[in-house]
Amino acid sequence: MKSKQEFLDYYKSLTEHDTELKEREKTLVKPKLTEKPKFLIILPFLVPIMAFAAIAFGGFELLAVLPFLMFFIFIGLFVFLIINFAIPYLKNYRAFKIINDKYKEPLIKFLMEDKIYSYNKKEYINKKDFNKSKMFGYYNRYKGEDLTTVYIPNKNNDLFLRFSDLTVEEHETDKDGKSSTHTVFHGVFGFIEFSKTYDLSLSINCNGWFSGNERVELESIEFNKNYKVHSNDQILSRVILTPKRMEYMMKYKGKHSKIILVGNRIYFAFAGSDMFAPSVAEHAQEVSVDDFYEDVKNMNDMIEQVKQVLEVLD
Amino acid sequence: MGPYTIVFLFFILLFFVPVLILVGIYNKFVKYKNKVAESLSLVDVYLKMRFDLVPNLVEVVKGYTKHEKEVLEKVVMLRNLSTKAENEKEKINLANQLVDSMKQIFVVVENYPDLKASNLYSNLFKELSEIEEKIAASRRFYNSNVNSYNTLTDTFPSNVVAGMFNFKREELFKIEVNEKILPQVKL
Repeated sequence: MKSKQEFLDYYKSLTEHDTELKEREKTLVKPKLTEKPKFLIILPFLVPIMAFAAIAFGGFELLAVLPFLMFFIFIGLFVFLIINFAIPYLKNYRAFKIINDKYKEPLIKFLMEDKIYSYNKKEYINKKDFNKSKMFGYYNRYKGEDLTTVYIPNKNNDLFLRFSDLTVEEHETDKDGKSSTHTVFHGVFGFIEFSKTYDLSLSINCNGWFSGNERVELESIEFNKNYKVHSNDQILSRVILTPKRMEYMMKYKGKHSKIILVGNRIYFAFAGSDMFAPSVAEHAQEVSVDDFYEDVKNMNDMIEQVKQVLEVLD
Repeated sequence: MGPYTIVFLFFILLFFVPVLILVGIYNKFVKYKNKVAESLSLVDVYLKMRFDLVPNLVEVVKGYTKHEKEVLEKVVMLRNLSTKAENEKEKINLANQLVDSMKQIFVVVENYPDLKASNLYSNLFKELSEIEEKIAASRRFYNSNVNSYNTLTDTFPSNVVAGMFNFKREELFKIEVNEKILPQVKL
């Protein structure tokens, strides 16, 4: 794989004369928050807590003030979300769009040059493969992008890797016409297929996928907290999940990953951010494509791990 | 509901609930003990596979070396003794001594490049390597089950049930593995 410096030099050579991008970069805003703040969790309890406090300290008369208080609190929250999420998103959107429309494909091609692969920005994993994994429940909205397919020759057991970004949702409309959307999955989904089929079934963080599979409790308490492993073979699962491999996986704890090894496929789902997503550079007023490099490097690492696992299973 | 019914229900609860708890804990002990026995039998299976490969290893090495008789004889002797072991502790003790002797054979092999390069030896080495992996994994499985069982015997209230039915702590066997021939996980 090419080095990070080579990749960044190539990116610079592509974009250095792009005046439109330079203009958009001047208005980039580094988002202060990258995930939902935890204090939002108390929102559903706010009304009963305040009602109770009002009655306790001021009597029932103070309850009349409650709606006004709630109104100001929600206005404040709305402004907070606008400043920390909406404005950065809108300001950065145009710069990111230029990267996605003009430079994403050549950058990916540069990183994958040594591999046999195909990339299609507008396509995504088909529903049949997604459903086959049985990782997720009911959904009625399905879309994605950045479908990447890689062919990896590997001794007697060639690998075929396919992944894309996916957004899978369940949209409901109740009898009063009120609609709501619940995200079933958003992130990177894919699978690695190999030519041999194995009798082992192993799932990580997919409770209830296999009936009759036992929980595999490994030595590390931290690992067991972050990764719930089930398998039909306690020994082989430990042969695969060695202490070193567990240590490697702990680097990705908190990323809400699901993995299933069954038959001749390994399915994986990494919830959260999309692959190949531009971001705002840490210490400069410019777009960063570091994550492109990291995404491909992580995929390469995963492929190496899979090759080692297949050697063990053979 | 009359007072007699209430008293009757109270006594049912007083005796019935603890009995239920006792039965639940007892069953858990039996389940864990069976898991420990099952995982130990898996260790036995893989140790036996290792023992069975030893004569092949000795034959291959013998064909190339004339001066390492002592090392090879010790390995054969340990292997034969292991098959006659009377209990688990003895079996594992002999298996660990066998690993030490096998390590000496692998050191010897380093001095004979022809032997190291031969197909017979590399196939045998691959088989041994896979078995060592499975021994390491089955050892981890066994220790995990023993830890769960021992935690149950030591913690309250299950330690009370352990005392009542004579469930004793199980020993964590130190099962040696030939680390040098385990496949290395590259990161």
